[in-house]
Amino acid sequence: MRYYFLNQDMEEFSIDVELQKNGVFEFSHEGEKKQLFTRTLAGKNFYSFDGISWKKLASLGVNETLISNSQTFKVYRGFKPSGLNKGGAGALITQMPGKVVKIFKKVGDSVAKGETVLILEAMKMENEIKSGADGVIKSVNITEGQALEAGFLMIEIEE
Amino acid sequence: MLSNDQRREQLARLSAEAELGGGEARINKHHEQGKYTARERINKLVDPDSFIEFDKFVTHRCNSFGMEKTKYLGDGVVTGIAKINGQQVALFSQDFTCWGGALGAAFANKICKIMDFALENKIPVIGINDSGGARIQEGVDALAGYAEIFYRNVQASGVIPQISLIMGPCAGGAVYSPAMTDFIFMVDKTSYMFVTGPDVIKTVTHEEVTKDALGGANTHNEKSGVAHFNCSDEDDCFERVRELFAFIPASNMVKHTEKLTTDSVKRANNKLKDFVPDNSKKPYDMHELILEVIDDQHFLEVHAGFAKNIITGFASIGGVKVGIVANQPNFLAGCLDIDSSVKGARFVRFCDAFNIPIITFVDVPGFLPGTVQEYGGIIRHGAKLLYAYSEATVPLITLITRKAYGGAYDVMASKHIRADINLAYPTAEIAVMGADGAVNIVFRNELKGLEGEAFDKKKAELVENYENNFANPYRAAEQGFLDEIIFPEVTRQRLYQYLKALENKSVTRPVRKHGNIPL
Amino acid sequence: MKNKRVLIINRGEIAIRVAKALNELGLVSVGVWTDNETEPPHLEFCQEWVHLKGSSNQETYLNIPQIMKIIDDYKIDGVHPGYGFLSEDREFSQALAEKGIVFIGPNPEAVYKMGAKDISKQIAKEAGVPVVPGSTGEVDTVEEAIRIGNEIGYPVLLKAVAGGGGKGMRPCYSEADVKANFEAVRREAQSSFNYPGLLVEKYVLNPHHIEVQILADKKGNVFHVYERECSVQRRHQKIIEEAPSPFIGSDEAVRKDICETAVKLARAVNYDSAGTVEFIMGEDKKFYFLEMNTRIQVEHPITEEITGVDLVANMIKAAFGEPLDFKSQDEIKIQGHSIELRICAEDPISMLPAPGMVAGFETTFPTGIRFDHCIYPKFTITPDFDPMIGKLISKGLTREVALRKVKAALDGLVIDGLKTNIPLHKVILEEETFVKGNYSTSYIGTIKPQEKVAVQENAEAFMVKIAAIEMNQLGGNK
Repeated sequence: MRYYFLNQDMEEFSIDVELQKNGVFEFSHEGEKKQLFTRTLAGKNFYSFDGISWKKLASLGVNETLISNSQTFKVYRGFKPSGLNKGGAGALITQMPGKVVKIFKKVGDSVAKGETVLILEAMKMENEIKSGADGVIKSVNITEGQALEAGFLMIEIEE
Repeated sequence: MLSNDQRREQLARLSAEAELGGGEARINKHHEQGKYTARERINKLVDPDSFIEFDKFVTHRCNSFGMEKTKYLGDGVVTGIAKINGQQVALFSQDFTCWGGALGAAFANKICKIMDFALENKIPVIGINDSGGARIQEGVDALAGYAEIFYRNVQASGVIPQISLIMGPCAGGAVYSPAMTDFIFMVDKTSYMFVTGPDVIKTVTHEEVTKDALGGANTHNEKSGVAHFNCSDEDDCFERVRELFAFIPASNMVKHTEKLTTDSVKRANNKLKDFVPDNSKKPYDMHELILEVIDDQHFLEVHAGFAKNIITGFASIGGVKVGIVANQPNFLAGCLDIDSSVKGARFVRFCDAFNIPIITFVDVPGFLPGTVQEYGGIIRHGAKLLYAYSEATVPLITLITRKAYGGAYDVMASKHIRADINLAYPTAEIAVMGADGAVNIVFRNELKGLEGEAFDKKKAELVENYENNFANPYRAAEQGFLDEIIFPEVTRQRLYQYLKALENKSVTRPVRKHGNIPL
Repeated sequence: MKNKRVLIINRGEIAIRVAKALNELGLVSVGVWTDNETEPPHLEFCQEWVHLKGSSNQETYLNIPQIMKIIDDYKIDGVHPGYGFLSEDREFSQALAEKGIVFIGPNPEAVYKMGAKDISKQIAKEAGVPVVPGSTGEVDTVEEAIRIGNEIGYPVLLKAVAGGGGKGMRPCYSEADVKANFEAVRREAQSSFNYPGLLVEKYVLNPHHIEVQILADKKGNVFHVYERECSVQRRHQKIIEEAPSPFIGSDEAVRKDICETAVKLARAVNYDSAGTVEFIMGEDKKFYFLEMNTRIQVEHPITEEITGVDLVANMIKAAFGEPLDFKSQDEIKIQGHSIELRICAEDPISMLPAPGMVAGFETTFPTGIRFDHCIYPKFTITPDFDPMIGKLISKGLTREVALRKVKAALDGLVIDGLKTNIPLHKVILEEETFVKGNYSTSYIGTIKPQEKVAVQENAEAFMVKIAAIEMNQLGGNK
């Protein structure tokens, strides 16, 4: 079972856990394994890393967040929430037929993620096509005023 | 006579043999293709140690074509019950190492048994498909087996959630079971679905196409819309299934549990203050609005690759689990067309069946024009979405962010088709059509005879006039077609308040066997 | 005094503390609840509950008319204001005095006199209490400033008269500095506080914040209950307090001097309740009066721990004209050492308040620990609440023992779901300067223990969390 922790800046890290026999948890994190021993008495759970000194495992209310010093993490058991910040690719392809209104970059220009590279008029809307990554313009295959069909590779960005 | 110890040893031995399925060699070959075995998949999907297997020692009873010589314990499918994040589920996992996962009578029987169990006990069914199709040797018995499964898919439809994971081939008649389930997950590169394969296609229509291109994950997620989720690998697939279970209920009879969150319902959506652009022609990404409003930015988008002009997915607001349907203005201008109508309709009906309130975000300029759409039947497909919303009795909350023109205004959960709450932003424009087109028709006489600059000037004047009068939500508000025009900053708070108010909504419709939704 | 009805016009841990003392003395404790805290924990300890209508502080705890009405409606005999809110509000204590309601605090005159900085300083001077040397009033010219600087000795502080909270002041280490900074401070004072007036004061380097607990009755008896050191503070918010002062240590002469000086001041204003006289003490152990707080203070428990004197019970007795629990000053002795850590719902690094909801709460303490708090699972701290949610107090035979015990207690204190300053306390309790016991009010600013707090714990903390969730799940499964 993999646990994902996402902090307030959406940075994530994950830990894999396996429950072995006798309440021993084996964790794998960044290639390293660590064991945690647990035992239960009178409805209370206890843990120990060395099997010698034991502490009470706090009974928890809301399981979904973990506050660690200055960071707040959301805890996800068994999945990482999908749909967080979809990054585009380095290839800008038309999703629908349209006309190139304005091109802002030329080959060799550097571009930042999220920066508008060109404006495409389609379906009576002016679409700002943005770069999905930081990089350098590798190729520009369009000219202003050109009418394009869907699936046309307009601009390539090298990351 | 065997002693007690010997009998115990016998059980352990047979159990181990069953778990090997088609044998080590085949298991290795399976692994080499980047696929997990049937049992490994179950163990990775469900909560650790929660799987209880049924029918481990079932074997086939076919005596034709020398089948009696080979028997596998379990007959090539692993079935049983398990837990996913504490929720009890029933599942079956087809074992490709046994005759390529081909289905025979006993195999189908096992699946039917687990489906019956699930239906009687109101728990979801998860099917992991990895099968070459029917066992030709078993003849009609195999076809009968499929049909028994199909029948049960339909009996269970709308009562318990049915999830299909396609993790290998799924061809011919076998595809119809997943097709009738609620959600299909496909794994990129290692799974494919089609009714007739490339070989047959080549001989009949002389088209050359690869398995992947014909029915792979990308094809079904983007072209045909058959699959709802496109997973990069099997592990990713299991994660997405677990994520789905964070939102869907166990059956249509249980009350929803709260999705735990610490995201305050009083959080203001200041980001949305200027979110809708002043320029009506400027598109925006509706995803951003959704993420801003929901809990923890956790949005599970369903059918993401298909009909991108409409967004469907699950989220929660203040812990209340909801289904979200939204037009996407930056794709096809957010128009409704055949694919998006069908995508939206299926999602709305799933939510309605399982008592999940639906929140609809509207920014739609109309239906997509063109012969492709007309010949394709936009009339009957568009009607599906309208039908689905009208039929739904779950709480429906609609928010018009910008455009809501023409018939599309009616279709997107308008007040008239019995949405419970209809909201609009001040930037909403509710009209029969956009100013530009409207002016051309309504003021045809005023514009007749004018040309060039005079025409442009008069038209601009009329357009502005029209916009001032009609491109706003107040006409609709005057009639009570909108319950409230809200400032975008309070969107989240409002939605939560309404969701809570609609908690106990209960509506009955006239008794009938079922309606006749255009198909 | 028995069965008299006392209204506690406060909330949180101090309301609990006061209720406990009232119950102990056989009085009727009447607690309040407002519109946005319908299940506050302090009500558990109060015998009667009254609804204080409204949600903001203005509408409730600071709403004198509503409080006076409640006093009438519920036949209240006395009021305990706790700390903060109306505890040092002259208007309130006057209103109560006029109605003949017992105010569990000092007489209104004392509240007034000690409430204004210039008046209290004047009274201190007249009573022979050392005050921070400096100009008697505003200084108008740079020449005057230099004259005073030369007289009292550098370094001096040029301070805006209307300023406060550490703002509007500049240290000058020489005549040249005064010349350079005089006009600048005037300008700053005008722009920040709308008044250019400034005064010149001796700048005490690395001052220690030492305060003396006063306990007096209405019969003219004024006692001191020794001192506390509260030098670990940031922006005048105390973080850790100790009694007795580790800086004074075993220097009984200084101790006697500062405590008796405090009594002298209290007598000068006919003080008749519990209160605290605050001093700053320089490296040379010379001390100067800062201000007097005419109320019970947050950190009163450490004084109670080392002397056994129940300050709250005694101030209640005094207010009702009863004799205190002791008769003479020599009955009060220091035994052992006590440390208090203020547990606050704030970010341990930035020390900014971090409202939230308590998801879980566990305490596993050694002996010698007292935890005054108002925490319970699902307790929500909103932005208008005081972020201080508890005080962790240890008592030990010596300072080392008290330190040992409070460290162990901190280890056993688990508050889940909130950011707290517990990680900051853990760093401070290990930090060399603090452990040695010689730290001044510049501690937080110069040692900066908050920067030694790890931004997040190591992976082991996460493993523990996962184990807890899994065991919850497994428990649920079974």
